[in-house]
Amino acid sequence: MLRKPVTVLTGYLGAGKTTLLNRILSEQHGGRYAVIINEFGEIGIDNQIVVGADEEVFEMNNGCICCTVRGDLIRIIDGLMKRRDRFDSIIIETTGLADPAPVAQTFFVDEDVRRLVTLDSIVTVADIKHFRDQVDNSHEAEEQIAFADTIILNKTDIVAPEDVDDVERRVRAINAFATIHRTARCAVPLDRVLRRGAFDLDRILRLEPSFLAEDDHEHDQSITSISLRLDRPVDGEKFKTWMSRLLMMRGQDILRSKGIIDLANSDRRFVFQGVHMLMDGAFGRAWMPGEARRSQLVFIGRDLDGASLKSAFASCIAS
Amino acid sequence: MTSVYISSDSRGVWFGIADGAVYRGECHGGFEPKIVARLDCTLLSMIEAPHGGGALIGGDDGCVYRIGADGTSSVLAHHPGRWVENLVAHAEVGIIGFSAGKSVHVLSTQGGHEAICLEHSNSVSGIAINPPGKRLAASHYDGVSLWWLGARERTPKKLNWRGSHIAVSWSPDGRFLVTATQENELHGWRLADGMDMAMSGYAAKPRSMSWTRTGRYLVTSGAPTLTCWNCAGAGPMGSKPIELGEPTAAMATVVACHPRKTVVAAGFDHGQIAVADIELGLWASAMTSAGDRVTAIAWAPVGDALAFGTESGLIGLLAVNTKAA
Repeated sequence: MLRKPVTVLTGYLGAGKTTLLNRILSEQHGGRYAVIINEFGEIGIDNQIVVGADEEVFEMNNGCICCTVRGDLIRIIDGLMKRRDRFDSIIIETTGLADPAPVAQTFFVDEDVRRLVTLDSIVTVADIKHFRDQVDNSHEAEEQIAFADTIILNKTDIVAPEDVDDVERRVRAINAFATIHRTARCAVPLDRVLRRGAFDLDRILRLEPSFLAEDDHEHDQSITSISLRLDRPVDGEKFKTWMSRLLMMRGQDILRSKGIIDLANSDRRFVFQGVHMLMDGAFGRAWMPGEARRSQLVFIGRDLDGASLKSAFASCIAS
Repeated sequence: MTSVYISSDSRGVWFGIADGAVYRGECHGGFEPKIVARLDCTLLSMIEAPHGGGALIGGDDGCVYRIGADGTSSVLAHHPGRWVENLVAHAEVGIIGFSAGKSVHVLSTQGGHEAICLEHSNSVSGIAINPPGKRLAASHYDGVSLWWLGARERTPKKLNWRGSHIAVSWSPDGRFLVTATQENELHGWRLADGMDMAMSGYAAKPRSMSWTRTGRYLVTSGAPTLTCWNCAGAGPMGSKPIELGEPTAAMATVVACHPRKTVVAAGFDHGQIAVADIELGLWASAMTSAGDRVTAIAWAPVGDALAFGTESGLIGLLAVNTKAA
């Protein structure tokens, strides 16, 4: 059974999530979506599948610290998937003040959800005018940026160009790997935002390895990103052991991890992504003739020690 | 397929398909299921209407429909923007109950009672009526609300247990209330003293629960074997459940206890259907369509036939002889 892709839409209050959702629901774009929203009211819902959510966060009793998930989402996805022929993918809107972790973790930890759908990407809308205030004063605003695969810097029409540049620098310092779009009224082609997962993961292979040294911290923000590369094949067992131990020990601080790994003895790319302590990996497509086989890994989190992660990753090289 | 039942007069076998189609076959003689209605909604729940009135159906359009065997259809209630995922009925008292979002509505089928609406702070995930038909339990986030249906004063008694509860079941003797949760365990309460009962150790979520006729055993899905909790005496606390069947890679998805004997029928996620005697350990099985998850299963009122449906939409009827048991 083909799993349906899910896009999670986050963003602080007033950033423009509703504007984007209304565009998704009203424009002709060839895709059929089921949308899970927090409150009815501002959304146009004629002939669309729109479901209200309850935001019921609960802590899994699975021995995994900080493993919170959204019970209502599990229930709603189960209900929607009874009629999977009616839509191609699902969009979930989160409340402005929400920590994105429980939503994202739901797609890694719940077996029923994993059987039916797959997390495609997390899209965060940020209000350029208020972003700096929000990120300085709110833990959630910073986490929403850190979790994102795609970031929409919205409201370019009401701020000076230098402000947009400055906000983008702040955003990049937190999350160096997300695709960023600058928009007024969320005017970005929807195919650049929705169903991007595979493309976005491929992008990380083209990133240059980087990690910020201590004195590079521009604004003392606690969340940063690092990327690591290996050009020699990786030993699957060593890699798995290292990653599970790392996420077990440091999963509270590592918000997201993703990678494409060149495993020794495999012609296919091993693709994985994780949220906090949870990780999901599978073999993807085969390496193509002439394609440079290499492994690339990214982490977004707090207090990341780039040098030690780099050497630990290097010790996974197949002998 | 969403739901199946065999009518209490043992004549009709009713199948509710998620796409809104309702089929009815003959339980004895021919089977030959025919479409009786095609609703313009996702079919989320279906039960037999009390007093031989056909089927009651809950949809994602907020409607409760009544469908007669001749295909006549009427709308009993409409709550736009809500899903009607849970339906219950109590034939003797003459009431039906259903959930729509955070509300539970109780209607009288014979006009003897006024309609009531019970409000909850979260979406209702399951409803159960106790055997005398006087109390209603609604499961939701963080526990269960217990209501007296005849009371003038309407405040529920709360049974609190942290987490996401997704179904509720009342034992036939009225002593226990058990919920399924979004985790691999059940939670229960002994109603006499409110004692919590943890029933854990499952490989998957036990979403389907069924009691043997007297309430001695609670049988559940959620494991490769059928899990049977002995609820005689003080309850299942501290005891290990009976596990029926040989564990394989397949997982039980739905269970239904025989209406008379200590026999249970179960469907599995690889398409198998099994019938087992809990106390004798006897086991018989049949394959429906390989690899197709069984999503609903129901006994005929006298226990001589078993109706089932699968995820891909296969529906069927099996004659069952439990004389050996």
